[in-house]
Amino acid sequence: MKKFWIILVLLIPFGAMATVLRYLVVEPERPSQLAAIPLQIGEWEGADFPISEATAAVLQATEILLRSYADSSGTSVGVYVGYFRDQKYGSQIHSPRHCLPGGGWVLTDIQHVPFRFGEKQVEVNRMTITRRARTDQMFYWFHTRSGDLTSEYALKFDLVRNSLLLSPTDAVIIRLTVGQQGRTPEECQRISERFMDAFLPALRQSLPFRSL
Amino acid sequence: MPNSSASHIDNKPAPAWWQIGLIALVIVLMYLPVLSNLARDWYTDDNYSHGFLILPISFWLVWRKRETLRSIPLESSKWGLVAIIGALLMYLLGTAGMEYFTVRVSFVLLLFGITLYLAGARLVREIWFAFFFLLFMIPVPYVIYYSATFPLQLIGSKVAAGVLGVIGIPHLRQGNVIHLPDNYSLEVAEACSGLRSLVTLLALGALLAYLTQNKLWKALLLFAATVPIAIAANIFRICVTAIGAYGISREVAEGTIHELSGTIVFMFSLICLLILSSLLRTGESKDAPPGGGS
Repeated sequence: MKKFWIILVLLIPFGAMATVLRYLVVEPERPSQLAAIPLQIGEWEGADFPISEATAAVLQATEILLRSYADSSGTSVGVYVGYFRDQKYGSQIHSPRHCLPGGGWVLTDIQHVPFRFGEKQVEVNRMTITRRARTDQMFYWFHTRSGDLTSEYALKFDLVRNSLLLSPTDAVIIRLTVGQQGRTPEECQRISERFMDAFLPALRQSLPFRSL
Repeated sequence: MPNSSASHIDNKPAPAWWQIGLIALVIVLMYLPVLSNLARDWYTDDNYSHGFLILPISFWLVWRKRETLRSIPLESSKWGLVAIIGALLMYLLGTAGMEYFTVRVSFVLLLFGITLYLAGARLVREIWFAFFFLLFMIPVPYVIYYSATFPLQLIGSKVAAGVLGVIGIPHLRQGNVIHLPDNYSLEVAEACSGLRSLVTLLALGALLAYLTQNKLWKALLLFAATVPIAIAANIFRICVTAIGAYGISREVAEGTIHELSGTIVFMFSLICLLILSSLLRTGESKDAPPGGGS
């Protein structure tokens, strides 16, 4: 019966391709070295935040940098960089958009804004987040081998693409937080951009791929 | 033993059982990691414990039509092939992106497509609901689930706060959090929103609508009514917990009432659905056959 063979001929190659995609892990050239990023970067002086085991277990990042950097005037920026070596296996990037409400933060405003540092301009997510008496401005975006991505959907799309091209599916989330403390969101953004200017060379050095 | 399913009027040979068996085997091999992962979700996610029941119910929905199905001559529909190819593309892209939802939906679509291709549209028209019902076993991506239920939760907390005001319990509502005196807060968070059972209720609503209603608009109305019923039940639950916390003790609110009210709220919703379904049936002649009688 012809229809039977048609079905079988369709099923088998798709099944085989999917099995390859499912179990094939394409390793990045080298491991990330976020830990090697110096604490002193220009005028910014950093301090590590401890990461609880519970948090690390949820994030499932391959490597995490969680620091606070302060300049000479005492202005500080919270930095979270998460490197994910292979997004295919359950360790996909958790978006702050979904994690923060779970942690009791209220997101009052989310926008895509252009963000400038070094010679780059990246479209990032800017969120106003509030918990109890504290309000912060948070800026985050994703970075993969294909470039900078703003939305969670773009990240997913990018994963499909890189996976089909059999290239490594590693990715980075970069997140900066500045306490509002009477500043406008724009002022908070200037501070983050100024920090990113100084931070960029060290971050580039630490990643296995160089498109940042 | 080809053609053992017998008595087909058409002259095309029906697929032999070994052929069906081979296709089934290939599908099982293709989807084994996907299905085992799905079963683990049912086991670990309270929102989807009902997943275990969906498959047997779908089988039963087909089984109860076996007499009718036997009398339908086998045909073939080219659309089946389109559905099969669509399902396989979803399967491949979903696997590439490790997007569970897409891969899981492709399983249902593939079964549907193969049935349509091998047995034709007339047979599928009799059992389409069994395929549709299978979709309820698949967890909605949490991003979508949260953005859909968040506004519903907010409505729930607002109305519940209103009710508390009427019965004289002092409170302060901030978003989904209701603060009660004595520094006690009811977080109407997703975990205890009552909307936890929304998907289970939707599945029940769909099944009930299909089995009891014989007019499309009534079936759709009954299905859609699931959402307001779930919200109402949720409001009831928030109020009961608040009254318990304020009037009796916070331990009571957090312990017994909270646990118990989950079950009661579910029963409450179910009873509402049953009442509505029989209301929709009143005035109709008894012999009109519901349950997908064309």
